[in-house]
Amino acid sequence: MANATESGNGKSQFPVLRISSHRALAAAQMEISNRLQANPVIAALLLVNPLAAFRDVGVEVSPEIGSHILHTLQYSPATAARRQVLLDNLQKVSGGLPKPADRAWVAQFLFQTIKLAPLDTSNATPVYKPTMDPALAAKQLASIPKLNVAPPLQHPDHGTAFVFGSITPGVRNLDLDKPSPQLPPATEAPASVDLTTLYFYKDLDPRAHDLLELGVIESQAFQISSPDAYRKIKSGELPNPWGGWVTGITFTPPSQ
Amino acid sequence: MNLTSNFDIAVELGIDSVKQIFHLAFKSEDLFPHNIGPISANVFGQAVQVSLTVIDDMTNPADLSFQDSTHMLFSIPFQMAVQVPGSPDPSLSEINLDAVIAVPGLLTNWMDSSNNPVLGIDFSGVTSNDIQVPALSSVPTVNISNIVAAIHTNYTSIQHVFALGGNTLNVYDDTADPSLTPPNPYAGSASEIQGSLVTAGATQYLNVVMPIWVNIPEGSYTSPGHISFYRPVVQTATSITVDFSIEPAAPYQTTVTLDNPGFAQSIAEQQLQPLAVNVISTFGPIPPQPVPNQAGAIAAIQQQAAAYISQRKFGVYTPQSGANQIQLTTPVGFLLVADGVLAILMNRRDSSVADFPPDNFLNGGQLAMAVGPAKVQELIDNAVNTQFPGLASGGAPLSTPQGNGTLTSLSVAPEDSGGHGATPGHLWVTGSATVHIPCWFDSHVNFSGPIFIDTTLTQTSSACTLTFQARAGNFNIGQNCCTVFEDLIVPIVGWIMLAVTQSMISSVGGSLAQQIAQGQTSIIHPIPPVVTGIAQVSACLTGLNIFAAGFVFPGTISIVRVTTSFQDLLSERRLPWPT
Repeated sequence: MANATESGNGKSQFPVLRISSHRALAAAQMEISNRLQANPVIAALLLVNPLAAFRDVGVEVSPEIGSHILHTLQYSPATAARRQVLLDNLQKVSGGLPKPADRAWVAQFLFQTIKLAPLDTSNATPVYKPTMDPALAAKQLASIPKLNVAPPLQHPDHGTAFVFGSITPGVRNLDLDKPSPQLPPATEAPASVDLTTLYFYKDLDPRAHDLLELGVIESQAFQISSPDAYRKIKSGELPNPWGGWVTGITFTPPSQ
Repeated sequence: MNLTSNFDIAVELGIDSVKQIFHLAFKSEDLFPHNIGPISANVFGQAVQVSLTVIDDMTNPADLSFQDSTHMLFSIPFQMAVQVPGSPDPSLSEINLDAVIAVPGLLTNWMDSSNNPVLGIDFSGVTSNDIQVPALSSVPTVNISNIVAAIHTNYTSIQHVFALGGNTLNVYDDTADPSLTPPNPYAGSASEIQGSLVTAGATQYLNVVMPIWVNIPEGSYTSPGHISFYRPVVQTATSITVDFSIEPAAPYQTTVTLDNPGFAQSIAEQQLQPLAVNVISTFGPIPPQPVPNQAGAIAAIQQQAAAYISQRKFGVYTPQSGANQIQLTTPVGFLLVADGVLAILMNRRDSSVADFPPDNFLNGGQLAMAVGPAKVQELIDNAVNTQFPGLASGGAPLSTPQGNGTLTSLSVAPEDSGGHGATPGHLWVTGSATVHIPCWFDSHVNFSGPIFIDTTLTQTSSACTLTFQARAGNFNIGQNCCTVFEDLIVPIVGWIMLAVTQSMISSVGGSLAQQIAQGQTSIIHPIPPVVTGIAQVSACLTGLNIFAAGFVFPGTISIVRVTTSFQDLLSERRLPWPT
């Protein structure tokens, strides 16, 4: 804990290790690992902001390497590749960095950049993928003995019905493969459009579909807190977004 | 805390609910005939006709209490009418005893005619010695008027004119024999046979004074007069007997007193004395008057109540599986006397130990259901292993949009409120995962935290729905980081709860009222919806409390009668018309 405090004040117990290339990062893995293992409190904060945690153990990375680390943590390689394709496509259309989480930016993109007509989405509901894997659900049902074997008794209304609430579907569960409902036009274009509303435009224009897909990917990204938030979390000013759940992070060095 | 003893499932009912079921059972004429007889029986030492009535109404309510871990003590208003047609005193030809009997009933189980297991109260084996009579009224008290009434009655059946050596003696009792000549020479009370009780030491005597008239032709003497005599009264626990044939010793010998003076008066009084004794003996022996004292009445009631109640039993918990091929295990009951709780245990998990009662988990309510820790853990482990089949062999692969990994361990255990600093009771999750990061060596994340199960109750006049929603505790709401855990763990909790409820259904004989929709809905009857032949039961489980010792589902219960009573028909003006 004391080491972590010192590190938080910018006074790492380790000599500064500067990394500006992928080769250097690969070469420093063992050293970084050792430093983190020696500071389990800092290691646990890797999930909050890995670059800030690196700094606390005396590891300084260049912006390029920092970006590489963050994106590697945030997306799987396949997802990262697909995200890059979508970014490239949309940048060509919008002329700038797409901002699917920015509702005003999305509205401007839909109604001014690609000139879609506004829809009345007030009573519409998007289609979500099941939050539960149907194959796993079937296995679970099959694993419960005697399920469904007893025919109904009299007086079903005299008992208690149980409902098992599932995970509330969110943006990450939007089903991009299902057709969105056909909606009547709206009289006025809204000034902001969130990703759930963008869902109803995805089949009207492939660029809208791309923007929604990008938004879904980015909503699923591993969330990295800002350096300032990291500092406050470490000092206790802010609660750790992971709560008490993550109790430790350790590493298996490549040699093992 | 011991929720389910050495069983998997326990249902607890408050004594008020048990009383309701008993009252409804007691209203059933099939189970408890309310009017028995007249039947032939030997009561008060005589062969008599007896009618019995058991009562449970606002004025004379039946009741019950918990006596020990396997016995309830029933308090039942009990009336017994004994017909004594040959009673010496006609007013005592029917003796009515009003009592309250206290009868122990054994909490036990049996198989009904459909081979379904029943937990209920069985009175077979109850003997008169087991029955207490805490209240008894209307025990008849026999006094001199009853005895004199018996003499008046007996007078009508005996000879009234006696002759001895040409002399004549008439015996009168008011105008009961109008054929006598001369008519009764006395008027008013002096014309009647009169009696009184006289106590002499340990002996009680009946002293009778009878009006007479004598005619002695040789002495030209006639006179009215009286015979006065004493006879011992013998009272037992069940009867009173006066034997008129036994002449007691002095000073209680029979005397004859004649009213008219004359030289023959004294001689006549002496000579008529033996005749008077003969006259008196014609009264008896009067059959014993069946009339019990307090102890005798209690003994008779105990005898008849035992004969009545030992043929009775009624079910309190009559589960049905809904399918003939599914045999539910026989429920085992315990009474928690101090708490007023009936605990019903199902599915014995450990038969190596003797059954023992669980703790009271009703918490002041009238219904609660519990699933024991071993069963809960078994269902948890099954759900976890089904969801992550690779766990047992080293690890289950995980694939998320953020990357891939391997779940290397995951355990879930119920925990008390306050355990690990989390409140209320929860499922404590502990696990570890290896995250595979490109260009980096594997990172191993150890995690642990509480999963709470929130419940929402929706209740209408015809349905009761309890919704479970799992929630990972300790997270900051709104943080996207949590969706990783949410997607990973929360579904397991849903499967755990489904398995738990299914296990309860399989154990208590509830049923699936509808097909499970997407594996998420079922119906459970924590107590069978019909207590066979007695009541309809509506039970609503209203929440979930998690303990290290298992799950407790508190609930509410309402009980209504199955059958329609005479009073129901009367109130609805649906009594059948005569045809």
